[in-house]
Amino acid sequence: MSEIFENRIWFACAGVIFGAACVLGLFAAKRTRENATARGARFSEPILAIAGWLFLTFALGQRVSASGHLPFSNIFEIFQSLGWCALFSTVLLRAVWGLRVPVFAATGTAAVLCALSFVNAKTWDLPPAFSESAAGTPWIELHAGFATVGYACFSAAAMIWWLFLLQNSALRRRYTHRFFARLPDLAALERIGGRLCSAGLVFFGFGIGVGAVALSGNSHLGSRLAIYKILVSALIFCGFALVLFLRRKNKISALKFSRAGLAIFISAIVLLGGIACLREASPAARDSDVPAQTEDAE
Amino acid sequence: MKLLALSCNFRCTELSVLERLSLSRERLEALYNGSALGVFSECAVISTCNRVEVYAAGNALSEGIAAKILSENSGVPAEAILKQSEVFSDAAAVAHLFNVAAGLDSRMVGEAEIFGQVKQAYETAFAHGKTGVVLNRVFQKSFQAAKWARTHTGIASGQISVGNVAVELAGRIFGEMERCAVLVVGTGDAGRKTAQAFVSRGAGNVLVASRNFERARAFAAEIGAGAVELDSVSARAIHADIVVGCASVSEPLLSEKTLREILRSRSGKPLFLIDLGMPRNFPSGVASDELWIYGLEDLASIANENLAAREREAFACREEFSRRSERVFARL
Repeated sequence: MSEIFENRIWFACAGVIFGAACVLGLFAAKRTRENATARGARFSEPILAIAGWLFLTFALGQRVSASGHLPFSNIFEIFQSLGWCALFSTVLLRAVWGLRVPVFAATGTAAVLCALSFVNAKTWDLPPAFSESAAGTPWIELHAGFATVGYACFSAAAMIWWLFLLQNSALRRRYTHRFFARLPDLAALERIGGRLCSAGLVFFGFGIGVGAVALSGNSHLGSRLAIYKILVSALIFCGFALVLFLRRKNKISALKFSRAGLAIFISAIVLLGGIACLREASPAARDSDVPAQTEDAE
Repeated sequence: MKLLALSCNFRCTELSVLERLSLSRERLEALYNGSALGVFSECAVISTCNRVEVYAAGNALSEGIAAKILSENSGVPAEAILKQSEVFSDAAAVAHLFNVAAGLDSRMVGEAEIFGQVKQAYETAFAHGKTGVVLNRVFQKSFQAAKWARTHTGIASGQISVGNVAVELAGRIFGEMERCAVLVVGTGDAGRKTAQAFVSRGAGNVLVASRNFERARAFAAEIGAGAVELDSVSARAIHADIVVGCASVSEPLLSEKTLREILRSRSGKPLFLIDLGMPRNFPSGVASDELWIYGLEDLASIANENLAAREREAFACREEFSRRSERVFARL
């Protein structure tokens, strides 16, 4: 099975295709004149986005079929899954809330998340270690699943907040290029960013709860890694909950809410990488009975 | 087969002459039903508020004959018409029609209304049996050219009137206009056009306030809006999403203190102030994440930038039309 964790070519292809789609989309969005080049870019963008998504789906599917577990077993897989969700979420956002997220925003977000996964792939992309104590326990995957879906909601919200900041800045600076006219309006971005944040809190909170149940039955509750994970999870949860609460009570503006939300998400991504580094630095944790899925999914 | 276009338009023809030349529907019918146009093998007349043009195809064409026909209909001497007109022949006539249909020759470059007018003019001529193979082809190609210009270039992108610029900006803040409450203070020309622009984009709730309540009521009735007293502007602004200030005032409609109180009362909802007044209708010293203020100079600057962009696109379009017209004429 370790070969699967060394063969990341499909993931790399997907990331490159997302990056190309984002660049083409930005190019097409900025064009005012519809010549052959612009038409080509506009035509290629969704095709590349779909192709990248299919590549990534295939890669994740391979992992699932080889490992027998959902693709949340390590940081690498989590980032890749978030990239997959970023693209999928644009379809959901359109279907559920009628929000047209520009394709370049979705592919850009997916490309960044996929690229982040490769920052330290050798360390982050390790096979999960399962102990007998965890065998047959559904809590671990349930925790990982909910926590990852929570992160996926936050990453979709981050994409929305980034678009909000872009549109807000353009209006303040009196930019009226049709590129900005194609972005969603501020009211919709603010509304849906809040809803995604709320959804993320629900899923993430549930994931934390399940993870706490799984950890409480484990002798390594007091380990440095476990403490770090609990603290990180609590910080992320409380951070999002606080900004959402302040926004709902109109104590902060939509602009500050977007900035804070985006900052918390970026911090969460950095802290997520920290978990894997901490695990790598701690031999005891590496050899521990605690399944890697519990550790990494938070 | 030759082609001729005699164009009396806003650029080369005095307004008083253009008004006399202008053909109403009845006069146009009479012209087509009469024998004057029989001298041309094929003929079509376009008459709008900004131009009167005669397109003719045949073997013996002369702008003098076209001018004489217009002169007989309007009473303007033919020599005066020829002095204040542009004459195009063959491929240049085709290119001119392309430019007209695409809105490149309009006062507002890229305006869409002219396309419908050219189409209407062609259909009238066709219905009277005045067009033939040549003009049918040329006009059809002009419609294709106009559609190409609108979809493949930026001649129609960006708003070029202050009112439409304001509506577009509001759309980027609020999205759908149906849910927006708009308060227009003042019934001057700029305010009227802006209010009409909002109504035409579907603004759900439009109120008009003016020092003269009767005038406000009359204007409100015209556009399907409601009228309110000027004194209630501060209270109404709490519930409005967009406030358009175009009143002639010696001091701002809302003081800084009042504006801050309004923002506090709005529970974090954005407020878009459009200041078309001179002197300013709104104070400039209030900064808030939820407050958007665009003044007349901002909107005019945007409109001018968009117009300049359209002009650049129009230049590229004209070059393309010049090439297309050569090909079309060669195949006639």
